Order: sequence, then C-alpha cells, then structure tokens
Amino acid sequence: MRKRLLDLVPVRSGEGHVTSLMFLYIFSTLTFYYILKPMRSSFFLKNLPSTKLPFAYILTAIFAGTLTTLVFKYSRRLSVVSLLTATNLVIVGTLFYFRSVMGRPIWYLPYVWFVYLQIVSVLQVAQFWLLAGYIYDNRQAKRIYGLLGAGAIAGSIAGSFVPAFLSKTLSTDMKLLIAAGICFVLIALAQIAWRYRRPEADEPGAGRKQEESQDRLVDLLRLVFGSRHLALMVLLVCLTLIASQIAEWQVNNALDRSYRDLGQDKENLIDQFWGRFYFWTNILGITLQLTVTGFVVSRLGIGAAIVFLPGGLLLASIGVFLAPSLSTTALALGSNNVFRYSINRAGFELLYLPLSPAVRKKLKLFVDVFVDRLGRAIAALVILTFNNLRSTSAAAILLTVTSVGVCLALRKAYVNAFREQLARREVDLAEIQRYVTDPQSLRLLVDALDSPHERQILYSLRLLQSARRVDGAGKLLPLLKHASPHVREQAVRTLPALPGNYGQAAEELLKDPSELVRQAAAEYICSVDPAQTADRLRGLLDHKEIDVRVAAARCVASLPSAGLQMTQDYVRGLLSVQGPAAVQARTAGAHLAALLPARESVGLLRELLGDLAPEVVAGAMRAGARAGQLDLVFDVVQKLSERRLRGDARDALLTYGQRITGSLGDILADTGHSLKLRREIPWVLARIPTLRSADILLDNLGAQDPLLRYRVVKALNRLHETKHELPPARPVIAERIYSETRAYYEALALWQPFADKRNSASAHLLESALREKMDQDLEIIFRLLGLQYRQKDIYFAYSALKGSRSDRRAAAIEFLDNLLQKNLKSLILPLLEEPSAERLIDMASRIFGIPPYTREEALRKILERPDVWLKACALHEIGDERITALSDLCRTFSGATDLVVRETAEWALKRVA
Amino acid sequence: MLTIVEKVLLLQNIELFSLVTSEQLSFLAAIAGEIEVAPSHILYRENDVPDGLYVVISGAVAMRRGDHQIDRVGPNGSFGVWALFDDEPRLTTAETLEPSRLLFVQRDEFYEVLSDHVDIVSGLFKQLVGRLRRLATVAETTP
Repeated sequence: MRKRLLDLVPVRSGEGHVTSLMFLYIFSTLTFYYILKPMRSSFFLKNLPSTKLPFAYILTAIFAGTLTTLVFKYSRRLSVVSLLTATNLVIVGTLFYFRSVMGRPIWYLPYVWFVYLQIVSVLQVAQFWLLAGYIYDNRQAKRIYGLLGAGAIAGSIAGSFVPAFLSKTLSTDMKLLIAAGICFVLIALAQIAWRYRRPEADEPGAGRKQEESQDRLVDLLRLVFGSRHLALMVLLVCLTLIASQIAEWQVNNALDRSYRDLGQDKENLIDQFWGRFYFWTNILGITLQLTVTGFVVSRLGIGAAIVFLPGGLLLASIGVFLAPSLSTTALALGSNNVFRYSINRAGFELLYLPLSPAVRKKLKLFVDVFVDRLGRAIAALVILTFNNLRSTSAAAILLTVTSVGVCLALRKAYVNAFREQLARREVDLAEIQRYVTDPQSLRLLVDALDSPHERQILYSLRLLQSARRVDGAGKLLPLLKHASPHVREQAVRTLPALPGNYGQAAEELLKDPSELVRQAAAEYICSVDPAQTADRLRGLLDHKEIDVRVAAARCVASLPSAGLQMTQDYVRGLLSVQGPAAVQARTAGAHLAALLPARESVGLLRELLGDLAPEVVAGAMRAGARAGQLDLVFDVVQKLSERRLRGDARDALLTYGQRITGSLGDILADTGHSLKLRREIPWVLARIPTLRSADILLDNLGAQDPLLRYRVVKALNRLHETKHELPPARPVIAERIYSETRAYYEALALWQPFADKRNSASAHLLESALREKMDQDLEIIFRLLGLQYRQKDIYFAYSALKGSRSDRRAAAIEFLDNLLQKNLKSLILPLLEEPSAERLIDMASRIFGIPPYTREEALRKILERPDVWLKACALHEIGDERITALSDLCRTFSGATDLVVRETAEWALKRVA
Repeated sequence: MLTIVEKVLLLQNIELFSLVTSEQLSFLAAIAGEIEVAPSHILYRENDVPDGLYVVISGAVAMRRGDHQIDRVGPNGSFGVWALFDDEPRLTTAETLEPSRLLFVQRDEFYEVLSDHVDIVSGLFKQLVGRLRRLATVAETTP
C-alpha cells in the first residue's frame, strides 16, 4: 500500500529534496498573495467608492503586464537567484513603504496599492516558474509540475485562511509584516534551491528564451483570425474575462453598499469577506477538480466542460439582475472562480489539442499579453457606462449568453480541427497524455482504426494509448491479428485503454513471430494488475520458451520499478542460450545485466561489449548508458570507430549526456588515441549543448588534422544552432578565422604554379586537390563567421557565393561588406571579389609574408603540410614528372603511416630512379 | 597494382563522381579492387542481381542485350554504375572482348565508405539532381 502511494508521487531518487523546496516555494508564494489579495479591495473601498474601481482596472490593464515584461527584460544580466533576491527585497521595501503611508490621506494610494498587488502576484509566480525552468529539465518538468501545481493550490487555501479567520486578531500592519516575512523565506528557499540547478543553467541567457518573443502583433492577429477555431477560442476567453471582471466589481459594489456605514470596521470586514470568499472557492474548486472534472470531460465531452463557466455566470447574473445583493453577486463571482480553475480549465486545455505546439505557444502569448488586457479594459468601460448592479448584470447576461453560443460553435470547430489534424498526423504526441479524454476525440480515434492506411491506424493507436475506459474493443481487438507487426504491437500497447482484462489475448501473442509484439504482450500481462507485476515477470522469466523469456527480459528493462529483484542467475541463463535465439537472448541478457548491482553489472556488460554480434554489443551499450554506468564510458567511446556500432554508441553516449563531456574532451585532445576515434567525438559533443562542450570544442579548434578541425567547427555550428549563446565569444574564434584565412592564402600561393591548362593528369589532380582545399578553407572561414555573426545570415551569404547567380553573389558580397568588422573585411572580401590570382598572391605576400612559389618550392611546401591527400598528390606529381631533385624528400615518406602517402612515395621513387 | 592516386584518376572519369572531391574519391579508390580477366569472360549477365560498378583500366568490354551488342567500353570507361543505387536486375550482359584489367567497386563496401564519409553523399546528390534538372528541361522542351 505504502509503495503504491509512493508510486503516485512523481519524484525520483535525488529529486526529493529540491522538489520539497520548490513545493514550499510555490506554497509560500501563493500564501503571500492570498494574504494580501483581499486587502486590495478592502483598502480601496475604505478610501474610495466602488464606482472608482474601473479606473483601477484600466490602470492594471496598462501597467501590470508592461511592468512585469520590463522587469524581465532589464534583468537579463542578473542570474535568476539574484533576480529573485532583488525582487523580494524590493517587495519587502515597498511593503514597509505601504505600511508607513497607509494611514495618510494620499488620493492616489488606493490605485497604486491595487495595481501594485497585481504586479507583485504576476511577478512572483512568473519568477517561480523561471526558477523551476533552471532546476528541472523537460522530462522532469512533465512529471513534477503537476505536484508543484498542487503546492500552489495548497498555498492559496492557506493564504486565504489568514484574512478569512484571523482578521480579528491580525491587524493590517501584522499581515504586511507576515507578507514581508514570507518574502525572506522565499529568498532563503531560492538560495538553497539554486544549488540544485542544472549545470547549463549557469550559461548566459539559459532558460530565459521563453520570456523573449519576436512575434509581432499583426502576425498574431493574422494567426488568430485566420482560423475559425482560434478566433472562437480567443472570443470565448475575452467574453468570459469581461464577464468575470464585471462580477468582481459587482461584489465590491455590493460590499461597498452593505458596509457603507461601518466606519473603521469596514476595511476589516471587507478583508474578512474576501478572505472567506477565496478560502471557500479555492476549496470548492479543488474538490470539483478532484471529483467532477474528470467525469464531466470524459462523459459529457468538451462542449459541456467549456459551457460550465459561462453557464454558471449566466445563471448567477440572472440572479443578480432579479435580486441585486451581496449574496447573489458573490454567487456569480464564486461560480466564476470555482469553474474557471477546474472544469473550464480542463475543457479549455482540450481545445488546444488540435493545435501544433508552435501555434499553441503563440495563442497563449496572445491571450496573456493582449486579450487579458483588452478584456479588463472593456470590462472597466462597461462598468463606467452602466455603473449599477442591475445594468451591469444585464450586460453580463448578454456577454454570457453570447459565450454559451460561442461554446456551441467552438465544439463543432474543435471536432473539425481535430479531424483535420488527425488526418495530417499533426497532433503532438508528447502532450497527448494531458488531453485525450473527450468522447468526441475518442470516437474519431476509434473510427480511424478502420482505416486502410497502416500509418493512420498506428497514429490513432498511439493517441489512444493515453486514454482509459475507451469503448473500442470491437475495433481494437481485430488489430491484434493485423498483418503488420507494428500494428499488432501498438494494438497490444493500446489494450490498457479498454475497460476489462485482455490477458488471455495477450498470452496468445507471446507466440507471435515478432519480438516487438511479444515484448508488448509481456508488458501488458505484467502491468495489467500492478500487485502481481513482479510475480508475473518471474513466471515469464522462468518460462520454458526462450522467446518468452527474452520478451520478459526486455519487459523488465522497460519496467524497472516492477519490484523484481534481479539476480545473476537470470542473466547467466540468457547468456548461455545457444541456437538461433542466442543473439536475441544475449541482447536481452544485457538489459537485465544493467539492473544488477554496479559491481556485478559492469563486469557482465563489459563482457558483452566484446561480443561478436553487433546487436548484443549495441544492447549492452544502451543498457549500460541507461543504468548510468560511467565505468563503461571509455569502452563505449571505443565503439565509435566501428562503423556498424557507431550509431548505437552515439545514442548510448548521448544517454549519458553531460556527465561524460569531460571524458570526451580528454579523448578528443589526446593524440595518443587514433584519429579515426577522435574525429567521432565532435559529433557527440555537438549534441550535448552545454558550456563545457563548447569550451572543449573551442580548445580543439586548432587541431592539426584538417578533417578533425573541420568536424570541430561543424560541431560548434551545431551547438550554436541549438543554443544561440553557445559558444561564448572567445578570442580563439577570431584567431582561428585569421589562421584559416591565412591557410586559404597559402593554398592559393601553392595552387598558382599548377594553374596551367596544359597540365598533365597528375598536375591537374594536384591543382584540383588544392582548389578543393581552398574551398574547404573558405567553408571553415564562413562556419567560424557563423559563430560570431548571425549564423543564418552567414549561411545564406555563403550559399549565394557558392551558387551560380551573379546577382545573388553581388548581394552577398555587399551584405558582408556591411556586416564584417574592418579587419576581417580587408582579409576576406578580396578572396570573394578579386578575380586576379596574382593580385591575391601579392596580398598574401604583403599581409602574411607568404611568398610566390615555383613548382618545386610548392611541392616541397605541400610535403611539409599535415594534409595527407595533398601530400599523396604532390608525391604523384614528383613521380610523374620525374623530379629527381625531390627524390630524397620522397624517400622520407616511404615509411609513412598513411597507406596512400606511403604507396605513392614508393611509386614515385621507382619512377624517379 | 595501381596506387590509390591512380585509381582516383580513373574514377574521376565517371560522370556520377564528377562533383565528388578528389580526396573523397581517394576513400572510394581505397576499396576499389583490381581484377584481371581473360577474353570472353562474362562479368555479369542480364537479370543478375547488381553488385557494383566497373572501370576499364585496359582492354575492352562488350555490353549486350539479348544477342545485340549495344556498347563497347574501352580504357577509362565505366559500366554498371547504377548498380550502386538500384536493386533492379542488370539490364545487360557484360563480357570482355580481350584480356582486360578492371577496377571494381563493390556495392556494400561503397555504402560503408559513405557511412564513414557522409560528405561524399552531397557531391553524389548534386550530380543526380543536376541530371534530373537536365532531364526535366529536355522533357519540357520536347513536344
């Protein structure tokens, strides 16, 4: 039982401490907010009539979002922890300021206090999620953010408890002091939590991309109003936002009237009212979320889920219209608060399902930045126009009736949009677990299982896998016998979506010819009753059929939390299998070996890394990496130089991730390792986008081997593409651009003596090899420029220069002329626009001291260079032209380690002799 | 025995490799084997499974379809090039007309080199795309 409860908590080993801190952080943040939130209205209404509140709404619409954006924009140079500390200290300072001036007759103070609290709440919550972004990676975030959301709800309930039930004992001063105290707690929590940040969080600008948006308003408007589905969503948000803002004003207006004659007690009573209001609506909201929301969404569908909010507001607004009073207005706003954060939110998230992640992000941005402000401003204007309960409730009725109509239209638009996205297979599978619960969507997916197209069936099956209690057995079960093994496999994986136990059908599939289907069947059999998982796995691992044992072993690897105690006997049993299933058995054995204690596991996996079958080695590499066996890293790296294992070795190394960048850097820099192996390292580092990877690559920018150097630069380009802030601006990049430019000029000077149309085949080969060398140098120069300037711009310029269109070439040169710094421009532009090789060689002589060469001097110089292929071409030219003056030099290469150099030197020597 | 550089000089004559750099050709040359064959030796027959490309170093090879000789490949010429990419059976029979020395690039080894030196692929693609463009232009201009 205890284990089952623990399984519900999505925190893994090593995450507990920091997650407790983050839970406490969001809890405290919301507590802080809900202690102060009631004071927003009470202080305002103590000093000003409720008719002035719309001006506060307008000021909030203008300043809240803008100031928050400005805080983030101008604090980019600060680390997140410094930003959090500074923000909280400023909040503490301002709280003390408000504490000292609240008793004074300052006419604008109620407005400032009202807007201030809105800004502080947005800022605090946004900064919390920013900090969380530095601590959790994407995979952790998916597991843990739900738990942090629960912390937020608990905090809001605890916070509203203070004004609700302690108002009589706690004065305003005391509540401000408590809030200031919470800010100090937040500073301390942030400082401790920051120690658990991910390593790349130290990189400049890391994690802050989300605050930056380059979307222009006109593009967002075009996006929203170009789609019926999006336009209806935005309209619904806007209408309900206006209605809820009106409802909030109505409560304040009713409070203002009810407590008008209470003098000094008015502030305290209003504070207490709001405290109780938030306390009970928060509790009701979470209760509804836990009990009814799932039922509404899964049984009644999206149409019903999104109609709850406007429907509730409509009914309550009719009540306000018929009997305007504090209780009816509170009921209207209460229904808004309860439904908005429970059933409505779940329904609204469904509406995002047919949108691609990019559109979803843009829509959220549009709603947060524009619709929210617009809604508040319109609500304020409506209130200012009508200015009494009955008239504003009539406006609210009109708005909510329209909203209900929009909900009905949206339901149809949603189904159409979902159908289209399904046909185009654009639904985001990563997000699906949060969404597919709606009956209409499920029906569409089940119907798609009849499709004659295998890919469509597979897609629908994958989407259905996140659903539960789907009425689709009639269409799903026949797919267990589908001709395609992929469909059979995915059909088995979809069985948990059906109500009931299909263990018998899965048992039959243990004899399926496809290993993937057998594994999926074993996984289903073992997971259908979690209490018996370990027993069933044990049964399958002891099965007499080797195929079943292999499937069970793979199943164990994919269900590490099954609670099965792994022993060497199981592993040895699989490793000793002979016959046609031996390779599969040893591969499965590798997966099991990784689950043994480290001291037993490393030896077994190392043994399997020496296996003759590549599948077994690949399995051992992947299993070792998944288990985080750092002792095996060096063994895995060695496999990079084996062609058939390279892909798996790369995947395994990427699974280790940033933990091994240091080891990779050591191998890359160590000339004792083979070049073939070292040349493979940049590919891996390029896909571990951290500052450490970038620094290692920068340290190797000057590698002697041209191909290795090229791959290092290419890897840096890849890093830069993934993270614009990598690599950091370091002098070594500029130095390298200079060196590569010099190398280009030198290759040009070496090429010149062979640029003769009457060349022999051998001289022509050397000439073309030198030209290719210059092309490579130019590519490296542009790749390095891409690290200093905007990579896309440099790439487009380079493509234009390599293309055949003269107008594009001229435009690219003009562009570079304006872009490059003066010192670079004077070196690089002549390479691109000077047609005369003589003049360029003259420049090479003036700038770099590279003299013009004769043929013989050029050959000598080429043989001094590290470039193997150029050396071979030069030796061939010496032999072909029988240049006896260079025979001694040829002799020095007859013992070269490179085959192509050695054999050409021997060939040339024979010719010269 | 030819050196790698000499093999590169031969491979440079193949149109398919015209946009592959000489250094990249040296990687292909390293796997190109030399074979010596007597006259009237059948290198492959019509409908055989394709296994690689040939370059004639010396001698001559007849390309036959049925009983008709449709081509004669002499020194520096190549045949069976598309076998590197195409699984379809051979369209012709290749038979030596005189004692011949040939260079043979085996298809599987060719792909292994490509996996080591993936940059070669871009030269091959450019050449193939250029060929497609030319074909498209011809198709457009032909009534």
